[in-house]
Amino acid sequence: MPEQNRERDSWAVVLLLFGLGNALNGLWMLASPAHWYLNLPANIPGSGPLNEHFVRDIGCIFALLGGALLASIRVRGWRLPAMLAAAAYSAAHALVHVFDSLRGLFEPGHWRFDFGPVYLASLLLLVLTLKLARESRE
Amino acid sequence: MNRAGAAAAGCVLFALPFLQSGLGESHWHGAGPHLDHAPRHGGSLLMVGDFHVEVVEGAKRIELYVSDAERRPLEASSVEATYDGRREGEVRWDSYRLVAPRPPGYSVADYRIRLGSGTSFSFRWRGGSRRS
Repeated sequence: MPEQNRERDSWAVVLLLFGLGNALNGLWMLASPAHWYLNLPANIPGSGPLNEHFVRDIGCIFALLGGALLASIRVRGWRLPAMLAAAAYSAAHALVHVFDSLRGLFEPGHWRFDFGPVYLASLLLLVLTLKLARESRE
Repeated sequence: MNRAGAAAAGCVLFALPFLQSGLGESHWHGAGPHLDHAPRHGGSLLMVGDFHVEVVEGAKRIELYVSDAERRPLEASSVEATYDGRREGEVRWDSYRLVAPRPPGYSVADYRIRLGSGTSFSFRWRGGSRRS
């Protein structure tokens, strides 16, 4: 396999793992919102009571993103749109955290806990999406 | 991107959905045992030893939300409830709380809750006011 093709195919690994993460989280939220609420190792109850309907609403987003990312392993034309959608969702989510931190909804210093899983991870996703876009044009 | 880089990036991204939908929303990081006594469901919070119970009294039912010292929810395996010394209706586990029919006009409720871990504790609730 030519070097460039092998490198391009390595995106399948990224898409598989990222897609699985999204799909599993989404299916968990859809199948059992209460179980997800109680067992996600992040103490979701600390931010308020369970709203099963709302959890399922968000579960739809993760399940669809996961499905699109997994499908894009085979359907190469979907790769960039799927990564763009995931990156856009992640960036929008990070902006909501910035907004809520600035208006004081989160306690002072909360940004330290958001830094890795929200801000840094969103940045990584954005960088990867840009890299994929660049490689797609070549 | 080489295979190793792809695998590393993939592993981080695999965790991303769980982190985004959970950790970032959590406010528990700074709280320690018994530092958080705020009701979360519009009821009254009781401290029973190292456990907490939030009692929410509606017109027709009573909801009990059980949590540990740091307010992490706990699942009950069984409950015994008496109202003014009488058993009234069945207390059932519903999703992530205990739900009991509210007997009309009762004044004192006694609950004995057994947790999934096997630990049990009891408390008395005086209809809509406070425990003793």
